[in-house]
Amino acid sequence: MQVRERGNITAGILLMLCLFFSEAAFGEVHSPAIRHITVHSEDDTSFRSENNLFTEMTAFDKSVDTVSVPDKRALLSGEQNKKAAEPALRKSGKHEIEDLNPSAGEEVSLFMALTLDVTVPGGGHFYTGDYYWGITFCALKLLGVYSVYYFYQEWQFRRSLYNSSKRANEEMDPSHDLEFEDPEGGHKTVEEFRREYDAAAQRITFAILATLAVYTTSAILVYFKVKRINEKVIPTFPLQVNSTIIPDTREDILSMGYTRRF
Amino acid sequence: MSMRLFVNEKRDSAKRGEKLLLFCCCFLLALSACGINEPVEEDYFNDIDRVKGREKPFPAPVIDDITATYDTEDNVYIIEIDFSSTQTIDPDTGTNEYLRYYLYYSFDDPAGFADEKDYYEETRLLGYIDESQFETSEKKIMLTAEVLNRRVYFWITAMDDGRESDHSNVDFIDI
Repeated sequence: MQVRERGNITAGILLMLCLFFSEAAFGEVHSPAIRHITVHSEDDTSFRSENNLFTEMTAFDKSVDTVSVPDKRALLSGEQNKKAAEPALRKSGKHEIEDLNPSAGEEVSLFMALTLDVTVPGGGHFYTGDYYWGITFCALKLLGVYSVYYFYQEWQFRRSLYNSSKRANEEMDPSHDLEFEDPEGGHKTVEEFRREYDAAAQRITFAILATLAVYTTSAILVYFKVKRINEKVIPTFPLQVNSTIIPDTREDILSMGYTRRF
Repeated sequence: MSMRLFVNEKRDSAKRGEKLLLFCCCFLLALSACGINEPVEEDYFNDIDRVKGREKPFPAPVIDDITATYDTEDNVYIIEIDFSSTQTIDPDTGTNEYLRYYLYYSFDDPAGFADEKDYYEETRLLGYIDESQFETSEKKIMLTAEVLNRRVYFWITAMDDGRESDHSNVDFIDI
């Protein structure tokens, strides 16, 4: 959408809201069911009567008509309002007001999304259609789980070395600190094996914490994603905008309308 | 134009996700290439071949005598520690050729040590001398000390390539 169009729409919305709440000053109730709202210049000198305005507009483009905003009471009556609005709708031509059906999305199950997210790496994100995060968290979770497994194995290995060396030192020569052959090369005392055992315990702790953080972050993102999707499930209706430029009078007329069904 | 930009962003995002996945797979492969060591058995190190130095030097050294001579010129004591009767050898080689003798000291009586390991603390190590430095069968250590007006205790151990023998008898001198 172009910036200019966005600006026009925003201005139109604000103006629409102002007009809606001060209809006595600008508008005129044509019928109990329908209020006609027109947008015109604030300059009184250039103001024309409603009929003249529409006459001119009609002269320019006979198919353009005002935008009718149905009254709430009229909405409840259903068909009556629809029939009353139909002539206005039918008269529109070039800048058409489309009678679109409300659009609604499909709800996403939060339970299913979270369950998939926990059980399948990246499952929750794939389920909600977010493939980038799905791939990312799939990779991170696989890495996290494997790192926990790897560091757990290493921790067990270091623990076995420490226990074995400690036992051997006590049995062989309790008064001396013996140096034992490290399977990875070199020689180490019991104290050095203990330090490596502690370091391995630290590493597995960090690996577990990091993996938990990844899972938690993924679950939180999935949760908010599902919430956003389900919020958008509420039927929405388009905003109708008409913009007409009358070169003769050098006027740019913007008219807007919306329909809200509930 | 804006729609095209949105599509490009999605494409870039997917590419970034693929790159991250590729990086993680490579990292996993590297991790697995490091190898995972299996835990060892409880008596894994109960094998003399896995101990540095294997058998410790035996028997322990013996201090025969400690004498102190006062040097009036330098105002120091010259202490001589004689342990010539030491018969310590390395059981692995059967000789004392590569032995190293460590000299320890203490101002407190070692008999009061709480732990046997206190005899071998590095803070009490004065110095060492190799067996190869002795030209004759006499084994003597000479050292100088200032006038301390207190008792000093000495003992000696023998070290091969990794194992230290038991400590010798403790002797003392007043300087």
